[in-house]
Amino acid sequence: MTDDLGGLISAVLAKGFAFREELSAAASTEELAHALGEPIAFSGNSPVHTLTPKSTIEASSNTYSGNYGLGEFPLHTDMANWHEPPRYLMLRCVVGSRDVATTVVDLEPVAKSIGIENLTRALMKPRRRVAGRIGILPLAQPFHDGMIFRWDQRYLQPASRAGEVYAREFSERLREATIIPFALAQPGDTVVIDNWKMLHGRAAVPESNHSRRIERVYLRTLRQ
Amino acid sequence: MNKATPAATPHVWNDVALLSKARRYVEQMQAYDHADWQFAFWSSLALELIARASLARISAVLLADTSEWTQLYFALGHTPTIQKFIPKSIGISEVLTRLQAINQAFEKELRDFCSIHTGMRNAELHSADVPFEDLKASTWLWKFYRSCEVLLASFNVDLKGLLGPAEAEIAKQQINAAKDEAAKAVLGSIKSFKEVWLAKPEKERKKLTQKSQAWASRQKGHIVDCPACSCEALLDGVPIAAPKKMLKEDMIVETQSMAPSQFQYIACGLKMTGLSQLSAAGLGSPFKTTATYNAASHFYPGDDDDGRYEDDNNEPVY
Repeated sequence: MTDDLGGLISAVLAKGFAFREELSAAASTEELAHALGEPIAFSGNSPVHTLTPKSTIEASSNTYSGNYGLGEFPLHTDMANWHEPPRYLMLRCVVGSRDVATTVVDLEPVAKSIGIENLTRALMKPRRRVAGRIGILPLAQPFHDGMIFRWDQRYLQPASRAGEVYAREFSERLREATIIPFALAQPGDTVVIDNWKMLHGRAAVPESNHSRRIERVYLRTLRQ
Repeated sequence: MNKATPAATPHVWNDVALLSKARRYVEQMQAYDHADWQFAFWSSLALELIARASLARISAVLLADTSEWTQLYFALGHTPTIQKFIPKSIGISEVLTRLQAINQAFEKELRDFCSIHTGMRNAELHSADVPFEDLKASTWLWKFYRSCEVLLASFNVDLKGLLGPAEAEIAKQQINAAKDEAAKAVLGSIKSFKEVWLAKPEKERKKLTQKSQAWASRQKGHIVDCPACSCEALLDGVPIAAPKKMLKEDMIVETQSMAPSQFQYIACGLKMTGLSQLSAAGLGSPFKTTATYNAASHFYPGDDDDGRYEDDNNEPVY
């Protein structure tokens, strides 16, 4: 499969993520997102969200910055507490930082080592109501023709005994998983992640890197 | 609904969400010994959700109580604008009826069990009765496991995926043991009826055979040889596929595949009910029914008043 973005889409479909330096520098993040696939605009707002480092005091308590501040963001699925987390996410550098690594981990080996069937029985629930409701969310959830793997050590809590057992095991296995780091250092540096297959995280932000600015877009599908 | 926005929360009749909740109830069930009433109680709650999940797997619309159009609208993923809207789904009895009509493997014997088991849940919750108190696991557990197995097939989830490997192994053993037990009981019953039949004088057997042939000719059903006395007997069934119609000259020939559900024969008196018993007796294979009727009566069924109404009369009455 080929695409006019340097094989980025094929790489995401094959490996679960792809990183490109200074990708389509002339295009805006929104234009690039439309070239990649189908961006998601929540509540009709712009699909592009700007992310900047914030302390726990500056940020709202329902955000990762509100929980972890400038410290390390643990590996997680974006919107793991949703029934259907967005399939893909794109992070694109506006103001870069070589010292702040973005990290990804492929969940498939972790899931297979525990047993995917066990993870489908591992029931979790969001720590707070989502849209006024508490849903039961398995760590591995068959969805249409695919599988959603979800993980969030803060926003998800066990909802069953199997949830407790396998969440603990998942957490332990994750410590042994291969973490792939890269830096969104130059404007245009872009990573696209399959949010159902990979976890991502962020290293702590040093004092000198507070100007770091990243644009994020969620995508429902990629052009194939 | 905005196609590009993923769902933060599932529809309340979402198949996967219903199954997840059922799994939670199964875990509650597994916290108790098989002989404990609470094991049976939680199994009944889990079973209802599994049945609803199985129907919702086809479409959540099938769960909607369509006596109000807003329920249908809601099932289609919209939010009704009427005040104090409360989702209303069909009762479990109707859920099971629909599943039996749709899913060939969910045969009458399992449907009847599910109906009784979920009915006990109602008695437990809505009355002073304690129906699960002295329920022997040997009488129902294999049917519970088998029902789960059949209803979850459309999710590609097997018993291991629902119960975990240890209990799934026990479940498989119980299902197989029940099949063996049914086979033994049925073969024993056939043997007894055969002995009684052969002990009758030949004159009486001939008379009974003629009487039963006359009876069978007046009944609807599939004719098979009785395994006890080898005479012609009747096999009833339930539809397992949509009927197929063929036009043959000016007649319509309609055939339909049926799963055997009941065997009855009045000559020797042998009776068998349920696919497990019938399979053990070698009568478990699906059969076809054929009906022939006039094309004209099919396409022009005639007036619908059947003489129940008086003739039209638009003369004013003073």
